[in-house]
Parts: sequence; C-alpha cells; structure tokens
Amino acid sequence: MSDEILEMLAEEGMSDDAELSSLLKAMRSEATSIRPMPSRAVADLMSPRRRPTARRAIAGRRRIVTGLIVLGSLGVGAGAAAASPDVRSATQQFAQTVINVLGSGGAPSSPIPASQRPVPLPQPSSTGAPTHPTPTDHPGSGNGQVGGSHAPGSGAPSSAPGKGSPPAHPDPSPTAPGHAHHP
Amino acid sequence: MRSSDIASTPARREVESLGSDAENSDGDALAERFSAAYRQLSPRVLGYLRLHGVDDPEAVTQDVFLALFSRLPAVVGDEEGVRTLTFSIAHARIVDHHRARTRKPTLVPFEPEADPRHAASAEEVHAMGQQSTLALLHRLGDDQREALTLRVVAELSLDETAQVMGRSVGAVKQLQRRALETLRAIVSAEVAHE
Repeated sequence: MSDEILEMLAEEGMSDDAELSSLLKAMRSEATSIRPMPSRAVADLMSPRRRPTARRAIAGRRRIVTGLIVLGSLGVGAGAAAASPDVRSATQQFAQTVINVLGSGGAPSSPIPASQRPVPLPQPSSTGAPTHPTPTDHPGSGNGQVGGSHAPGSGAPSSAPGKGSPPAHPDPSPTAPGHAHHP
Repeated sequence: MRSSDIASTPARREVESLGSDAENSDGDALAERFSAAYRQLSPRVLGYLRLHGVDDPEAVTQDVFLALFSRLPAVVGDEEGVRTLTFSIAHARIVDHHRARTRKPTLVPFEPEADPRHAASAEEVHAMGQQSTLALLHRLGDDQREALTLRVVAELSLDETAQVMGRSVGAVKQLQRRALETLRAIVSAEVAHE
C-alpha cells in the first residue's frame, strides 16, 4: 500500500524522513476513508443481470425483423401469383369447388336439380291464408340446398296453394318468439 | 484537452449505447472488471475530488465511473491502465469544475470558516494535530497539490501522474519535490514547536 509513497520519497532522496512518510500515509488514509456507495446507474453496470435484459431486447428486435421479412416475402409471392393467368384460373376453380362443397353439405355435387330447388312460398294455413315460417323453418334446412335462397318453408309441397305469391299479411306466426298465442 | 472531449460526449449516452452492444460473450467479464475497478478505486477518486474542492464529489465520482465503463473495453495495461484512465477522467472533471466556476462564480455569503484561502498559523497547525492532515495540502500550490495527491492518494507512478496531468515527467518531479519540501518544513516546524 505504501509503495508509491516510499518510491516517491526515494525519488527525492527523502527515504530516511520517517515523519514525512508517516504524514503522507496519514493523508492517504484520511483521504480514502470514505467508500462511496455506487449509484443506481453504476450498480446496474456492475451487475451481470443487466446482460440478459439487453439480450432479450436484442432478441425482440430480431423477432420483429424476421416477421417483417416473412411478411414481405409472402407479399412478393402473392403478387407474383396474382400476375400469372394460370394461377388465377386455378384459384378460381379452387374457390368454386370450395363453394360447391360447402354449399352441398360436405359432398361435392353437380348443380342442384330443379326438383330440389327451394320453394319460395309459405305454407298455407287451414284458413287458406299464408303462414309464415316457424322458427324451425330456417333457410337451407333439411334438403341441403344452396345457401342464398331466402325462401322459407322449403319442405312445403310444390303443389301448395298460393304458390309464388308473397304473404298477404305480415302477422307473426303463433309460435314466433316474443309474441303471444291467439287461438 | 481531455476535459473537452469528455464533456462533449455525455457519459450516460455512452453507457446506453454500450449497453445495447452487450451481446458479446465477454459482457459479464466487463461487468466484473468494472466492479473490481469501482471497489478498488472509488475511495481514492472520491478523496481526490474532495481534496480539489469539487462540488458534490460523490456525484462526480459516479459520473467518473460511468464514463470509465464506456471506455473500459478499450483499456490496455490491466490494472495500471484502468487506474490511469480513471484518474484522467477525474482530473478532467476537476478541470471542468474549476472552469465552470470561473465562468459562473457562485455568489454566497462570506463565511470565514469556509474560506479555503485561509492560511493556518503555526499554532493552528499544531492545534490541528492529527485531526486533519489534509488541511496541510491547502498550503501547497494548486499544481503541487495536484501532483502530490495523484502520487499519494491515487497511488499513481511518476509516469502515470505525468500522463494524467499532461505534463512531462521532469515537470511533475519538480512539482512533487517542492511539495514534499514544503510539507517537510511544516512538519519540522511543528516538531520544533513541540
């Protein structure tokens, strides 16, 4: 510890001055008696725990950059595919097939026969007035018809009276929710 | 000068930029090296700053080590290199402090007890005794005190002291000789008085 002091005294030819040597040692001891506590910033730098945090930040940035590159590649690929007429026609065929499969209840089929087409007429009541569909008569139920036909009562016979005419009165069905039944 | 380039690059910004570059595998070794430097040198840096009248020496000590961390990977010479760099930064902070004080003098009420220009009489020196040997340093000139504190408190070699002060080895040797002769005269007078 006192090497520098003794060295300095030797440099100046004062090695034999014990009082001066003790004075310098006392000065050093007094000047360095306080050990400062590291501030928060300094303590963070002294701690190895700072490193994983930095690594996580770098890894997050890498994930973002990788995601952007993947999205960019997908965009370029989609643009190139859209520019090709072969790909367009194949895509249209595929889309049509998917629509057919979904619309036919899971089984790929040819166009719907005329006999199974939805009947857009309501079922007539006993009084002859057209009735409105019950809650169970929702479009497309029961016969696997293609969606988009909004005709209720698809299970009604095709020879029902009043076929082709819309309901005369929009009075709700007795079984319709939210309405009281009037016998 | 060193003080100018240190002032132009805030230590905090340097540390943050270095922190983002912590991917290298020797990051932990850097933290360990920095910790060792702080444990070994922080009391000396604080004492060095206090002896030169820096305002808030504790805070300036922290700034010195923040600046040290950003430069630590480039330090060569192991312990000696780190020590020299640390006190070079501290020396620059002292220079900056005194320059700022010259440009913007602080106006405070005069308090005779706090006036560092006070020259102690022989009786006062005797009364101080062993209580504060550091007060003797105020009887030295600024450069003499600088050279002596770097040798005694910072424990730098003659070459390292010359490097920190930006002077030749011969000039530092001359300064320390005069400082030691002054101190020896004070001690001799004190002993003769007893």
